[in-house]
Amino acid sequence: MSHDYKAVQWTPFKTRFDRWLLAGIAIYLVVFVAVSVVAVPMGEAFAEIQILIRATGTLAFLLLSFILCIGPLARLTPRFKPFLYNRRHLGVTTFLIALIHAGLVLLWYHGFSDVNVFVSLFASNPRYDSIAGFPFESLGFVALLIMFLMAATSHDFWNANLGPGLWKALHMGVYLAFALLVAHVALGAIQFEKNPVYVGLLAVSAISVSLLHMISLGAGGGNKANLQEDGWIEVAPTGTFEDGRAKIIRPASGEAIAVFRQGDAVGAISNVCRHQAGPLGEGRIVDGCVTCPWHGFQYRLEDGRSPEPFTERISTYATRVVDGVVWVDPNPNPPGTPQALSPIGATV
Amino acid sequence: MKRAHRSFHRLVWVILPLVLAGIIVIALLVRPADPVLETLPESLLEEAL
Repeated sequence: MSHDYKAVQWTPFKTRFDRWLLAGIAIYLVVFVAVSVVAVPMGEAFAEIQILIRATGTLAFLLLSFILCIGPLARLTPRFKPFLYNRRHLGVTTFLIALIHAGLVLLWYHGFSDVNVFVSLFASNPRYDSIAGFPFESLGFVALLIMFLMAATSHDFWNANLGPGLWKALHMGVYLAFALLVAHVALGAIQFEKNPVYVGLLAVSAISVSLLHMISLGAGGGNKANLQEDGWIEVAPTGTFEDGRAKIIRPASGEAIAVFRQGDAVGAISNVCRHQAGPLGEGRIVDGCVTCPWHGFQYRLEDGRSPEPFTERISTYATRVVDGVVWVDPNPNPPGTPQALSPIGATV
Repeated sequence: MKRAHRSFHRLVWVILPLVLAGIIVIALLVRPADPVLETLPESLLEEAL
């Protein structure tokens, strides 16, 4: 969360995270190259640049797979929330590694062509009507373009100027990029690599990403809306609320509502963070403010406003407690409207 | 996550696993029984050197 424009909002945690990330990347590349040199039989050895192409390609694919797993994993266990908080740095790093992979491929396989390397990339293998011989490099190139768009706009400047909706829609392109990369590997490396490790990595990555997303969709569904005659929605008994945490309600229409307990009272705000539409109800109250689990944006429960000097505002909702059960009015107040919290002991 | 994004997200993860599985299965079916490495044969390398 930042009041002023900053290129990168460094914090000690982010700095430490990035150092570990770079160290991990360096270790992976060194180990991959060493194993490739030692383990491959004589006569089947690759050129150094080919080993680097494989090292950067597998690393970028594995990193992207992990990035796609972070969201559902963080929903299933809070241990992965630090990765969620630093997902942008991981994403940009993945793009840069993929860019190096693409650069090496263009240099080694197309750099000596008589025509432009990009013409060579798309035209040297014209078997677009074949499955086994499909020019798989073109799939990787399109995926790289999508990743470039995402990396280039992976900053709050673009989030603010494009608007959270368009920005989010653009970044959902990562799913298309992942599908293209699975096809890129399946129709490429899998077709000519003898080592079964490549098939295993591809299958495990695709299955992990798919399974985790399907499981988390079921786990993060929120409560079904149980309407009373006056249109209010039953949330849950007061005893089931954990202090500083929320229950998420999804009305038949409109956005989801996060109903938080703060001490001996409950209050409700929109579940949608103004920053990147993060799920506020999966966050918790820190220093008296509801804190988004994605990037730490904060809002006061009583009025839906970010603390000074920040200016973000979200909708608040009226709540009431009847016979030990919390209810919420699904009609939102205008963003930033003060709304009294309901004491847990109170009855109407 | 906004309702529209959530709905789209849900739709994506109903369809995408099937697409990914289809791609991998087809790729394995058309895969040569003995995949050919793209390195040059040792004899050609020695000749070139």
